[in-house]
Amino acid sequence: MSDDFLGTLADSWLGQVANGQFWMWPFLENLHFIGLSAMVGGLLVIDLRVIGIGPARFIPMKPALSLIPYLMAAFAINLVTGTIFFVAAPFSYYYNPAFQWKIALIAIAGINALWFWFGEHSKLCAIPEDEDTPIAAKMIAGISLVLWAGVIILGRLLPYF
Amino acid sequence: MAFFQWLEDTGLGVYMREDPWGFAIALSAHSIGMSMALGVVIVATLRALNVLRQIPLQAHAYLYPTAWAGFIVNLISGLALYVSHATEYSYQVVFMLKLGLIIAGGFLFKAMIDSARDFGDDAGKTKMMAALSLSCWILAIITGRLMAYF
Repeated sequence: MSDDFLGTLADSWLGQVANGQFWMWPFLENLHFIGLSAMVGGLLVIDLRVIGIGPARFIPMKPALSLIPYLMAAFAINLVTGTIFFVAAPFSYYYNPAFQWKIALIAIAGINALWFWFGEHSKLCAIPEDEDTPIAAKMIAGISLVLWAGVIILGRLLPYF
Repeated sequence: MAFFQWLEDTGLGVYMREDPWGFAIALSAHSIGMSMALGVVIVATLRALNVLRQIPLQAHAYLYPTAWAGFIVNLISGLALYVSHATEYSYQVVFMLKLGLIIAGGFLFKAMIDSARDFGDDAGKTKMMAALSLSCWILAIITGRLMAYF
């Protein structure tokens, strides 16, 4: 993205709105924090159930997987608020290494989620409750938790870079 | 107060202020712990409120150890953050509110669990406690975030 384009974003209607009111930025930040917590709740249910260690292995599988739309809704809150942050202050994000890594991890987590959806989801729906989950599914779930923890930490560290 | 000054002068307080990574590491841990504790609270209370429907409310108990782990991470990281600026935070209204909301949110969550056990998942009291607990925890996130603005 060229600096001209980033400048256009900052001057856009959305950028003006986000920067216009003193309460708008903290309001969006709060939504972003609530969205991230809501999303992690869904991730914990699904990923810990699929990994199958600890008491979370007793959560019934199909109901656990039914949280996927909830998870997507929570992610959507953060996609929208995050996009507004970027549009409103593009120069403080675009050249920030913590932001670049954060976006890279989100992209990898997205591919990981697609792998889960197309590779493992139907298998997990089909296996009996007392049977161990496939090793590939456990790996995907573990990678998901690690990636999203990285995303949260990098997000929190954005002001330090 | 002399006590708050003493807290700031402890080894931990000095480290948290002087090492540029002290505060950053504690904040990172604090956001991870928040997502673990709040994530479970949000999913369980939304279930009690019938926004989410599939998982039985009781099955969320399997995630309470995860929520407690997040809470303990935040108790420790929060204490480290507090000690570094004890003379400021001790008089900050949003911080006092946040502590009160966390305590209230915790007891209300417990009240939700007890009500579900005694009166059932669909009892009005269970839903009321779920709604109040969720509100307290959401406001705890908000007051926590707003500490940076006051």
